Amino acid sequence: MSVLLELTYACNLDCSFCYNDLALEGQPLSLTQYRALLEDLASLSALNLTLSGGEPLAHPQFYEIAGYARQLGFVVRLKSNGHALKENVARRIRDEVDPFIIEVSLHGAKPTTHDRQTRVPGSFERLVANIRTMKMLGLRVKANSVLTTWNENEVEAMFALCDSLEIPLQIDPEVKPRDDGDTSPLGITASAAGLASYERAVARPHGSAETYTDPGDSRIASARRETMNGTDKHCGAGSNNLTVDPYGNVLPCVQWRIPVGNLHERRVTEIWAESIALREVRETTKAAQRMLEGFGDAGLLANFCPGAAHTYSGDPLAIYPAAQQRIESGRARVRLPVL
Amino acid sequence: MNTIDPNQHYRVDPHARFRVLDGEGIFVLQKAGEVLVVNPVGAFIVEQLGARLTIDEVVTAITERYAIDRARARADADSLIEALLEAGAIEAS
Repeated sequence: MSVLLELTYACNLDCSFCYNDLALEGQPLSLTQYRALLEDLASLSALNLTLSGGEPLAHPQFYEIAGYARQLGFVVRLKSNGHALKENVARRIRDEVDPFIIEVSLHGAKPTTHDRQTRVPGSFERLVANIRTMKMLGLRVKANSVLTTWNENEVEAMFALCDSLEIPLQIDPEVKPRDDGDTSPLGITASAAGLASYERAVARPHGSAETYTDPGDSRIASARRETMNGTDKHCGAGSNNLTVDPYGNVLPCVQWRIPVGNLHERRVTEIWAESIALREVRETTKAAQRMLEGFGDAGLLANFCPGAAHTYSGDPLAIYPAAQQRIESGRARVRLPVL
Repeated sequence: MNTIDPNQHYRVDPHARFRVLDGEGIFVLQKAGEVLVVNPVGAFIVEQLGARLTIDEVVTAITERYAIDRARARADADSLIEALLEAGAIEAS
């Protein structure tokens, strides 16, 4: 099982399409509760633990939580915007947390593009400097990005930048709604030309991105896939993945924002074993698999996410625009050989 | 000939992570960025090492659990430990 902990929604940047539901209210989990959660997750054989946010380093007890995760033998991944990862912080993370990887957010290849997104002047230069420092300290770093109208003309340059920094780059071609359902971020969804440019760029070999492998994930992912095939599930939401928000809400995955329990009321072991809502999620992933099989081969290309569907419409089985577009595109490709 | 000191303790390397999943033992070797999978007997051995048993005590535990003779248990444990040491999955402690 892989678990993502959103430690806090506080952040030192101000990204325009931040997906967090910043209006969400609740009682933050205490350090004692985080310790109990980590112990429970270890007892459930969870291996991969991602610390995210907001900006996870903004949590006042980040080092206590992350250090305890290390102590309990989790493979810790850190998802950060990278802004605070100066040398002293990076060194402390290396020594106290020993993360498997630090994933940072890159929004463009130029300061003007990146800083437009973060709305913090100088954030691009600082991120690049911090990546260099982390690499110098021997930390494994990866850049994540989302394709938008703002950066769609810089995809090649972003890969070139990451090659020069000797880190892999992963670009999500799909802007998604915020977790509260607000679809305003979709206004900067990449154009068709931008998407085509992105597809050409990712098809080409890119230095470290080409050679990078993540065995900590891939072998587990492979095992997970086998398990899911056996149970006819479309994805691992609620079966192999869980997400916990800062207020103790347990979610099937980071994208599927339907609480299946709350840690202020029950321990995660109870939720995992007994939550009716979680059982329904697992059944829904099976229904999603059957639904997509109805689209034939094109369904495989839909990259359908029940969580995204839930965010769009409240229905985890409703085809949303981006998935529909991929299905149509897939149908065209499937038909092509018989034309 | 046995090459591992029977009174030695071993532990999971500080840069490696270990979990038992569906009976198999999975090491994530963080420095190398690799995964190492050991079978259920191997997982049992690593768990015994984690419980601060010496090699001699681990061998006893193997014979009790799997009903095999001591010489074979010792040879197999030595072989596994040598491989795990070479991979950087465990270290002497």
